[in-house]
Amino acid sequence: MKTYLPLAIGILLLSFLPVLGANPYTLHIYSLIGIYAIVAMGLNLVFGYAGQISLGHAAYFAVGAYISALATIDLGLPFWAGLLLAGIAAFIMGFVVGTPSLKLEGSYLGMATIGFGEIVKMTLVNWEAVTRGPTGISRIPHPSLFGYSFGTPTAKYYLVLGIGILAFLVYWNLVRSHYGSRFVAVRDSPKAAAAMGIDLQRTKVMAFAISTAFAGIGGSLYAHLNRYIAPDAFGLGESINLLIMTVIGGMGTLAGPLVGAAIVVYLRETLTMLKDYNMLIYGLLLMVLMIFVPRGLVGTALLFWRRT
Amino acid sequence: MLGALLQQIVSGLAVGSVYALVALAFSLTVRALNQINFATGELFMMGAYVGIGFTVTLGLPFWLAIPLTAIAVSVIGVVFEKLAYRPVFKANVSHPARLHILIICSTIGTGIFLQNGAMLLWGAQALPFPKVFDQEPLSVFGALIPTEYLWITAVAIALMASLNFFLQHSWIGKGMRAAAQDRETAALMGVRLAAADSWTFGLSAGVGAVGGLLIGAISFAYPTMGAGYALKGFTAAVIGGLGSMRGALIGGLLLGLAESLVIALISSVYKDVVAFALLLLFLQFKPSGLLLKPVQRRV
Amino acid sequence: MSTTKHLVLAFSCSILAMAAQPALSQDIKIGSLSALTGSASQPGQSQRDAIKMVVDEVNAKGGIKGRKIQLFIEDDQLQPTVAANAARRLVFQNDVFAVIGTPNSPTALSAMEVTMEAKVPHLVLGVAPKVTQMGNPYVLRVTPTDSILAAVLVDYAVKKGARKIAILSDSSDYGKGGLASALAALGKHNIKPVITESFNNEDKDFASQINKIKASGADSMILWGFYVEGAKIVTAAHKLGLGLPIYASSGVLQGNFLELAGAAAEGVTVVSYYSNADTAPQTKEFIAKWKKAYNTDPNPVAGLGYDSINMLLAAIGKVGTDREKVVAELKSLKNYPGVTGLKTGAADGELGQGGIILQIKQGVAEAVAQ
Repeated sequence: MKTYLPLAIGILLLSFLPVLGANPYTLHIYSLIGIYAIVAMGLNLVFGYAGQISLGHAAYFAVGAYISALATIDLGLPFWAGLLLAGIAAFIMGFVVGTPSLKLEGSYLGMATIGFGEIVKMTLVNWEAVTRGPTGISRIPHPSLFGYSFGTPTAKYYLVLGIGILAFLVYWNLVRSHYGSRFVAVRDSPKAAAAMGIDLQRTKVMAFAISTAFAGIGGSLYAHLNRYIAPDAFGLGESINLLIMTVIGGMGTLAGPLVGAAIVVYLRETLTMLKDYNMLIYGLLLMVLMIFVPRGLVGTALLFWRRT
Repeated sequence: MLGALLQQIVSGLAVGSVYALVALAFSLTVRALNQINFATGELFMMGAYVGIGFTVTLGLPFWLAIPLTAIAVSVIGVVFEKLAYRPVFKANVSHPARLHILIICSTIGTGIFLQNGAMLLWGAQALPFPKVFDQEPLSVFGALIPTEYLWITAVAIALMASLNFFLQHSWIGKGMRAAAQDRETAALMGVRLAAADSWTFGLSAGVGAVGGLLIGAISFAYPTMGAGYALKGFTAAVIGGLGSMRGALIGGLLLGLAESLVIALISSVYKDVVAFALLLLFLQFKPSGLLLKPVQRRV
Repeated sequence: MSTTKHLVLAFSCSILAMAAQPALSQDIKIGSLSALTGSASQPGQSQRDAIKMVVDEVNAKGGIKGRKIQLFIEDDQLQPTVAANAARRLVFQNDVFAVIGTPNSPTALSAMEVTMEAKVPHLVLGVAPKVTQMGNPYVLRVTPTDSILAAVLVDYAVKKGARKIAILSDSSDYGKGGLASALAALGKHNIKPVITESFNNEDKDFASQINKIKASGADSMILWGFYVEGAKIVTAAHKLGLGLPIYASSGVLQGNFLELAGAAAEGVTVVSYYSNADTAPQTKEFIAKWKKAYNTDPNPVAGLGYDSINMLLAAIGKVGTDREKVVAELKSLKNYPGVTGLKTGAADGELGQGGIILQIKQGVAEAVAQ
C-alpha cells in the first residue's frame, strides 16, 4: 500500500511535465531518460537484485534498436511489431549469451560480457549489407500505433512514459514475486539457495535474459526517438553509462533506475557547459560518488528513511 | 617468406611481452584484492606520456626514464588507492560483494579522469617519442628485424624478473603475498594491510606504465592508446591464469605470437578477433587459465 | 522519498530549460557542432577555432549590416546520441539560424535528423556520401567528397606512370569508402589493383601488409587512412624497404602527420583540398589570420570551417536571415574562391569540387601541378 500513493503521484506529475512549457529539446531529454530508465530497470534486475555483473548491456540495447529499425524500414512492419521483435530478439540473445557466460563469476563474468558486447559492435560495423555499417541507419520512422503517428516530441514523451510505466509494473512485480526473492537469494547466499532447491544457473540466466529484453525494448524506443542509430552509439562507453546509472541510482531499489538514468543523462547535458573539463569532472564525480553514496541516491535515501 | 615470418614472430613476441606487462598489472590487484582495476589502460597510457615528459622535457636518457616513469605512475596509482578506493572499502553497503562493484565503478572514473586529464595537459593529438632505438635493423634470413623489438622484449622480461624477485625475497613482497593469500591471518601476523594494498596498486600501476612507455617508444603516445592494450592484457592474464605472475608472462607471449601468426598467415584485419576469440574460449572452457588450478569457491 | 527526489530533479530540469539566454533578437545565431573532447577532437577543435576566428573578426567590424553574430559552440564527444541532443539544444533552445558541423559522419548524420526536421540550414564537413543523398533540401557540404578526391589522386598516379597498383586502406567507413572510390577511378583507366590490403585503426604493426605488398610486384601504393596510422605505415614502409611511390588520401595529412612521420614521409604524395603551400590569395589571407590568432599553421578541417562560415555569412549578408533564401543562394554559387578549393552550388548541396595534389619535400607539403 505504501508504495501505491507515491507511485500514483509520480505518474501524475510525470504526465503533466510537458505542460510546463518544455521545448522539444527538454522533452527529448525527458524521453531519453525514460528510455534509459527502462534499460536500467532490466540491468537492476540482473545486477542489483541477482548480483550478476554485466558490462556489455549496450549490445542488447543495440540489438533492440537495430531490429526495430530494420523491421520497420526493410520489412515494412508496424512499430509495435518492431518493438515486440526487439524485446524478443534481445531476450533470446541474452539467453544464448547468458547460458555459457553466467557459469562465470565476478571479474570473469564481467570480461565475458565485455567480450560479447564488442563482438556485437564489430558485427554491426562489418555486416554492412544488413546494418548499413559505420554510417548507420537514418530516417527511422516515427513510432505509430493504430494509425496514429507519434511525430511530435510531446507525443513521443507520452509514448515513452506509457511504455515506461508498463515496464515499471513488470519490474515491480518481478521484484516482489518469488522470482525476485530467488534473485536476491542467488546474490546473497548462493549455497543456501542451492540447498533450498533453487537452480542457480537457471535463475541467473532468466534474470539475465529478462534484463536484456528490457534493454531491447529500450533500444527500439531509442531508435524511433532518435531516428538515427550507428554502431558508435553502442560501445563499451554506453555499457558503462548504463552500469553507472544502476549504481548511482541504487542497486536493488525500485526507484533507482529512474533516478540513475535522470542523473547520468542530466549530468552529460549540463557538464558540456564545462567545455573541455566536462569528462574530467565526470570521472572525478564518479570516484566521489562511490565514496559518499555507495548505495546510490535512492539506496542512501531509503537508509535514512528507515532510520528515522 | 621465412624472413617475413621471422619478422612477424619477433614483433609478436615484443608486443606479447608488453601484453604480459599489462597482464601482470591486472593480476597483481586481482590476486591480492580480487579487484579488477579498470584504469589499468589509462595508467599504461600515462606511462607513455610521463616517459615523454622525462625524455623530452627533462632531457634524461631513456634508460633512466624507465624506472622514473615507473615510480612516478606508481605514485599516481597509490594516490588514487588512498583517496578513492580505500574509503570505499570502509563504505556501508548492504553486502560485501557490492564493494567490488563500487571499486570497479571508481576505477572506471579514474580511467576517465586520467584520459581526459592527459588530453588537457598534452592535447588530443598523438605525441611523437624521441628516437630511442636508432640502430640499423638486423638482417636475418633476408628480413629486416628492427632491434627495438628485441629491446622491448628484454626490458619487459627484466622488469618481470625483478618484480618477481622483489615479491619473493623482499620483506614488503612477502607481506604482500601473505595478505593476498589470507588477509585475516596476515593481519594477525602483523602485516599492515593498508600498506600492502597501497603497494599492490602502486606496483600494478608502475608495471603497466612501463608497458606504455615501451610501446610509446616505438610509436607514439595518444590518449586512447590504453583501451586496446587493457583488453589484450586482460585476455593474456586470463589465458595464463588471472592472478599468476608466470601466467601473465606466458599468456602475454602466447597472445602476441597468436596474433602475429594470424596476421602473417591469414589477414591483419582479424588480428583483434584473435584476442576476443581466445578470451571467450578460455572463459568458457578454462577460466582459471593455463597455469592455475580451478578455484574452489568457499561457502 | 524516492519520488520526491525525482520530482525535484524533474522540476529543476524544467526550470533550467526555461531559463532562456538573454540575447538581442537582431543577433544572428550560428551553431558550431563538433567533437571537442575525446581522442578525435583535433578536427572538431579546428572547425570551432576557424568559425570563432571569423565570427570574432566580423563582429569587431560591426557585424553584418549592424547585426552581431552570436556563436553557440557544442561538443558532441563523437557520440551520435550526444550529437543529436546538442543539435536539439542548438535548434530549440538557442534558436540558431544555421548549424555548421560535424567533421565526423555518424555524428553529422545524427544531428541531421534534427536539422532536417526543423528545416534548419546545415553545413556538414563529414564526407559520407549518404549526407547529401537523403533528400534533405537544407544540407550543404563544403568538403569535396572522397569520390572526387580519389579520382584526382588516381588520375595523378596514373599520369606518373602507375600501372600495377597496391591499395592499403583502413577498415573504417572512411577507408572502405576510399577504397570503393579508388577502384571506381581506376576502373575508368581500365586498371585493376594487383593487391588490396587493409588495416584497423589503432593497429600498431603493419609489417605483414607491407611485406605482402612488397611481394606482389606492385609499382605504386595508394594509402587511404588517417594520420596516426598513416605515419606508422610510411615509417614501417621506410624501415622495411618498400621503395614504392605512395599516393595517400587527405585523411593522412589531417593531424600532425609530418611531425610523427619525420623523414619517412619524404616523397609521399597526398591528395587534399587544402594546403598551406597554396598560393591563392584567399588562402594566404586565411593562413595569415590563423597564425595571428592561434600562433600555428592551419589544417584542412580548419580551412573547411573557414569556408563554411564565410560562405554562410556572405549569403546572409546578401539575402538576409531567411533560411530558404540562404540555402538557395548557396546552391547557386559559381566558383566561389574557397581556401579549400572552388565552390560551385548543386541541387543536392555538394559545393566542393576538385582537389589539389601535394608532395612532401623535406618535411613540407608542397603543391604540385596536376
